[in-house]
Amino acid sequence: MDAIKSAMSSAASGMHAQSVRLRVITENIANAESTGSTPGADPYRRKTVTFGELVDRETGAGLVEVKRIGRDPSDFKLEYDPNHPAANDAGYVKKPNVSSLIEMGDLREAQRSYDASLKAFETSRNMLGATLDLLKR
Amino acid sequence: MLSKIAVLRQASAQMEYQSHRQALVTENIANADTPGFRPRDLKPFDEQVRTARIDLAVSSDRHLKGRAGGGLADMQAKSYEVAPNGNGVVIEEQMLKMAAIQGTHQMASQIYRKGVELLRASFGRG
Repeated sequence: MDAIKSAMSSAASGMHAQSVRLRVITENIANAESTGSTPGADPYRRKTVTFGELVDRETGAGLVEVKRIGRDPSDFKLEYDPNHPAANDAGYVKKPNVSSLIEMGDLREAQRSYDASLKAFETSRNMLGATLDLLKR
Repeated sequence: MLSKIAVLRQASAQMEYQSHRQALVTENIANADTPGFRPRDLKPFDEQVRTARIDLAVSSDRHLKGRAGGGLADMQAKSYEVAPNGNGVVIEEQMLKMAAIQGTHQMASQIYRKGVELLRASFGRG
């Protein structure tokens, strides 16, 4: 019974971690065009999520947590647009280092992992149900 | 009383084993994207049965009750592949395991149920 309970909390932590990741990916996509507003200013920098393993001291269940929401240090894209308020002296505007292709790929992976945790939760619940059914006549 | 009956004891041990295994597989799935995480699994059931729960006989209260093993032993599971970030969890593989776990757990619980039904029948209350 305890094992099943800890299985369910592991699955829940997995779903939570993936939903935080989903949130960050959505933030990236939403800010894919967010430039600075003063000449030469930096635009939005892509955020990244790192997961870490965690053990719940009370139950001994192995969980997952969002260890860090970091920033992608890669270079910004430059686009020639002299009339933009954020354009530098040469007329180039720094664009966020967000690639919609990468974000979409990440999005699918997050969804897949979320679904897997959900399925694991369901299975654990069914097993608990099967055990409790033994009490029935 | 019920634990003295071999079938019921085996069935409940199997259910306990599968529950623990399910907990480990769920952990693996939750950590499917954690860098450096390697999936874990329990050692096979027959191996656990062979090594666990062998208490030393005691003839006095002051003797230590030694125990070989005790609890369920887990191990690092082999996985199909390891991602570049050091993660060895393949979700499909874990899903496969989960299906097997659920199947065996269901079988064990049905056996338990049938065992109890058999007992009831022998009491004349079938």
